[in-house]
Amino acid sequence: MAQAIDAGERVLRIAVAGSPNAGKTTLFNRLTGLRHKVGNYPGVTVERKEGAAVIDGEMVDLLDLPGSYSLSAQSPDEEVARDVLFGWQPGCEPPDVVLIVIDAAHLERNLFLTSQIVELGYPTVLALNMVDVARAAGMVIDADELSRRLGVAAIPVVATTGEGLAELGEALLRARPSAMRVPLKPAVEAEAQRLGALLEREGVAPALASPVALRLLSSAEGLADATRQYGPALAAEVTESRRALEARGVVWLGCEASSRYSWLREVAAATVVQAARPEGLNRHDRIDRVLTHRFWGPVVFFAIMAVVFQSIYTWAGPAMDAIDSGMGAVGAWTKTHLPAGPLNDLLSDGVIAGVGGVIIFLPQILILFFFLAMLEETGYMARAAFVMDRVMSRVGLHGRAFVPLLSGFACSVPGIMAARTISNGRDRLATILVTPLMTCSARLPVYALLIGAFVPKGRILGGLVSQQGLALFGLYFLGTVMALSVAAVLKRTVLRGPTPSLVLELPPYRQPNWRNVGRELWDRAGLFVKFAGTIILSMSIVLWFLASFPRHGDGTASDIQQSYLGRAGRVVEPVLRPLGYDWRVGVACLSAAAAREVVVSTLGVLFEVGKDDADGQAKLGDRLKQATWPDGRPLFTVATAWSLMIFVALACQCMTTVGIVIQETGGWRWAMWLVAYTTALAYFGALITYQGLRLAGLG
Amino acid sequence: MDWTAVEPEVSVALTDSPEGSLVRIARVQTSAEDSGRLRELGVYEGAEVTVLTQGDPVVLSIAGTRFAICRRCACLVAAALAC
Repeated sequence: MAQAIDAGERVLRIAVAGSPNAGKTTLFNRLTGLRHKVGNYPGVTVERKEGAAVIDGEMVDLLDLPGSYSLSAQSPDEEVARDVLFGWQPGCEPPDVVLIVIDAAHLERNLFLTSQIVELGYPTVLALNMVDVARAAGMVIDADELSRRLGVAAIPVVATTGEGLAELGEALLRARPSAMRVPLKPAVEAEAQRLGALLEREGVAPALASPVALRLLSSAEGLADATRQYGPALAAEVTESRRALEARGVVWLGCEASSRYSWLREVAAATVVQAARPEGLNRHDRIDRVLTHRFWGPVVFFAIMAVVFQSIYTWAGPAMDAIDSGMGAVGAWTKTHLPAGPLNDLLSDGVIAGVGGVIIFLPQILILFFFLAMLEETGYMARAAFVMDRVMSRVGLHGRAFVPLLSGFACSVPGIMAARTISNGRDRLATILVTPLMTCSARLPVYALLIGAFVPKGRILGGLVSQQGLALFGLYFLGTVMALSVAAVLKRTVLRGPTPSLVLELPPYRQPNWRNVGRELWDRAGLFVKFAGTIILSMSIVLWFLASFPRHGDGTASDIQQSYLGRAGRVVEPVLRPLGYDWRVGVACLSAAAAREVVVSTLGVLFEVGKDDADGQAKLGDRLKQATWPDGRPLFTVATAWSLMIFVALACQCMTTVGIVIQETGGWRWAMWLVAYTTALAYFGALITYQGLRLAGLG
Repeated sequence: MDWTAVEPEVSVALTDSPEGSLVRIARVQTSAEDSGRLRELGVYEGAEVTVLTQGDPVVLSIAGTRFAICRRCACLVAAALAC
């Protein structure tokens, strides 16, 4: 490893490791600026963040490992961090240098993972992050003493301001491995040595052999890991070692933790020269008392959520209008400046109208991600998890399931991926299967369109609450209630099992780091635009083709009723009529099987919004209001609009989601199950809504 | 659960430890999965933690960091007052 640094032939690869809440992401963002890319580890869907940084004129690669508390990984995220460091991760070479990010104000807790990583023998550097917070709390930390004890450089830094980063860079280029080992019980030490020698014969690097052996020996999953990585013969040796320890009266399970803790308490005592005032109740605890209170906790939670959704609806308006008129102008320009013909139609009616109809929702999506990032950054997310745990545990879900479900408000795909932090297989599956019912941002365009057109603008409750905002909140609420109900049913039937416990670190409340929030929004905007430019673009072209072909003998576009799309719509119309849909709405639902944003662009094509160029683009909502059945009755009544919204709320119309479920559950079975139950739910939900509202006289 | 029956020293469930008290963990009797996580976070037999607030969750201070443990898990952890 050390030679690679001196040779300077290839780019130095640095892995950034650390516990959650230590400021790892902030430091990574600081070091890499905008030079980073987000991808996936092959085989698993843990997010892989890589970036480039320039240190002393030298280009280095940084790999941001998922945050973890220890190397005896308990979730897929933590497994990736461990696998990269152990050289178990396929397609990912072990790093040249490891940078460990530590929260200086909580040195002792962070030393657990730190000591485990230092023992792996990589050239290592510690970043003592948030020393400003520690100083403000009255702590004095002896970085030199820490460095001496661990045998690696320990650099005080403040990632948020950039303090100490120059020194950190220098230390990274000069990093050397440490010979430090945490003293273990002699019997454990002997067995770890014995297994280590066997591992070396299996090709494990000498420095890694003993730490890997210790992990196999003392963690509950050690046997399974040994079998998977090194075969049954080695697993038998692990069992042998465990028996030897039992014979000597040593408990092997967790034997590592107690030795390590007694050592690191000593180190912490020697390096934290002046400890913070002893633990009494502080300001944060008093805030916590309110925010996790049995009554006030949920009140605050729902108030925050209500503000979030109200803001999405009102703040996005001006930006959306600007995008709308911009797209309209581009469409009109194309229409007049290109020669008339199929290409002109394709660009103005297919591409610009279709993609424009989706891009317009970028402001709303960014506002939602802004709030999610804020909740995470300020530390409120962990409190909300406990507030929600009371509901979650009642339906048999883990409190952590709240994070995937809340992410599901943005998009089920990252939501389902976030379910990886749930270690219990059954609970993870239940969470994955109900997350698509959470109202994702892709449903927002459909809601925005229909609510804007069919829910009155007035305010109720003395002008406090807008009716449109309330309708939107109601739809989000419906999705959430359905998700929880289905989870409750699942946990009582096919996925029956005990309710797991919620244990979370409560990070101190802090100012959001605007750099991190901005970075998150930048990434999300990029992904959404890419999505619009690929999936939505190709769908729009296909739809335009299906809607304008076959052409008449003279080459003019066929009437949409005679097109391929119209014919397909007519075939399904009888099935959808009880829901209040004609063939055009049916076509929109069919086309949305790929991605539900397409509902809006399809309606745009079918109700010919793109063709209206005389006085700018007429609003699609107005077109819907004017649409009629063949006999002249209005097509879109309040009942139809709500029926369609309920359908969209409950159906899993998203190929990407189905894809990610296949990947995360390891097969088609549960994905097909998901599609079947959501479609049934959507059909009957819409049926009841439409027929009910008609009976109430709103049809 | 009556912890005094299994422990020579007087230990009670974490949920019954007074707020503000410094306690020494005596037993972690949660599921294997939960106790693995708790041990890594610093809730292991012999560890000293401060009970900050009672309620749901129970908030502990472990080596200066605040951890919240849902009540139904905390009641399976036994601790004795450490003086």
